[in-house]
Amino acid sequence: MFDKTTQLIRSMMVILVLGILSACATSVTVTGQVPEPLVAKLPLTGQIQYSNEFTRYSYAEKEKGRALSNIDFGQAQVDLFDRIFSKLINLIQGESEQTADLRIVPELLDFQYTAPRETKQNLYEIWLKYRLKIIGNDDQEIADWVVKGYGKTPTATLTSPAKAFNSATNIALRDVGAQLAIGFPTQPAIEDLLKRSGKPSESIPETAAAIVETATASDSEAVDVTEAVEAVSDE
Amino acid sequence: MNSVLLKGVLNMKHMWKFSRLLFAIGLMAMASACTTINVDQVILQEDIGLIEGDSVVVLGRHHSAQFETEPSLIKCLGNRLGRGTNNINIIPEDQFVDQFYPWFEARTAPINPKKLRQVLDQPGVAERLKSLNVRFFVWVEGSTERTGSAGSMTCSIGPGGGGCFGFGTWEDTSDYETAIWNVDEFKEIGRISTDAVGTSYMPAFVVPIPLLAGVENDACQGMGTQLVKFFANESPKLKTLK
Repeated sequence: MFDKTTQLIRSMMVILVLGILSACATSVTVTGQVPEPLVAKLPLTGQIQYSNEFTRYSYAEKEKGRALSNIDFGQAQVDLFDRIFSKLINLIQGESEQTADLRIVPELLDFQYTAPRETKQNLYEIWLKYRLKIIGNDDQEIADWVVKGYGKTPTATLTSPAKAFNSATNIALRDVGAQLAIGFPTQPAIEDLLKRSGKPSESIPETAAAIVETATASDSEAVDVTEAVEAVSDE
Repeated sequence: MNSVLLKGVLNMKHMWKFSRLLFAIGLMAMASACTTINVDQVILQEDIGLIEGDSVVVLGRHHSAQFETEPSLIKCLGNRLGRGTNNINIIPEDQFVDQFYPWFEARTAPINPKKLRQVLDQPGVAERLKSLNVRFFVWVEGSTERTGSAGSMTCSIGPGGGGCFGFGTWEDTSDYETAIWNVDEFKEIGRISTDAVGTSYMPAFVVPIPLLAGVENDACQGMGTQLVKFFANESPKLKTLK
């Protein structure tokens, strides 16, 4: 009788601990790969300049009670930019004596997220906002481009929050990559560079620009996620 | 001896009553945990000119922030279409979207057949589509949502054992719109609308008995069967618009 009671108490303790753990905030390291884009290579050479902050980016949540404690996607975003630009232009990697036509300096301006327990929707959502400074070979800034990405994953049985956040972040990174791949050749500064160098691009700027216009018109923006989360908590 | 026999008989009677009660609940719930499906089809082109070896891609619409066409439904439709047809090749959504990245992402996918022409104008896209023999797109838009729930259940555990008591019920509703495009002609050749409503039950008498209406799966089977008939040109009783 005593053995049975002890066993029962132990089982209840295990269930209790598991329940508490499941309500804890999640820590995620984003893994995944954006596919190689199907785009024409521009007859330009370029380098990407990553800052240490960009390469090692890790978002740490400061507010208590939120679903995510930490998300690390520094390497994932470096892989994204490398993959996209290595197909778009002749990318010079590392130290090289070769003169590049342009330098690209990416910066992550904003990261926001929501989880089902905060918004009462069955979705994990991620918003990303990047700034790309494009600098010519005369060290003058020729473009300053802001690109936003959005990713969402529905909740599913037996899917952990970490997996869902990983998936939503990968979708947001893919979204950013898609806009870079399609929108980069249509940037006025890039079109100008190509005209001045006398090297035509294979891509068709008019139709690509039309696709980009439609794409940016359907932007889903997290204007102020904190307010939305607080409003739901108050209900 | 007589009292032992009597106890045995009484126990068997209780077990028999309990089994009958469980059986009755099970039958009731099985009869009612069903899904009602309504499928409408519009054919915009009678002869779709399907050739053996043609490829079809089933894709979900993900462009709206409010809803997301479930990847599980798209996979289910692809499987259903693959099982129901012998002469066409079904390309999975994730494989296709990766191969044609970035042209079929949530943000960039063509909304109508005319926009598809702009995508095919991009270098490499038309050639890759041709190499895969893709002739038809099946675009699915919609979702399955929980539209109602009622009841309550209490579970408890103690030294003598544990169990649940109560009754819960919930209703799920599916609403999907499927458009079929001919890639060569840049036009829509058919449309299938699918509505499904199902109620699930969870009676609990010591042990919860989940009796689930698989609404999303049933919507998939209904839509999938209609798609199979569409590609086999078997639709004598359906509306035709000319």
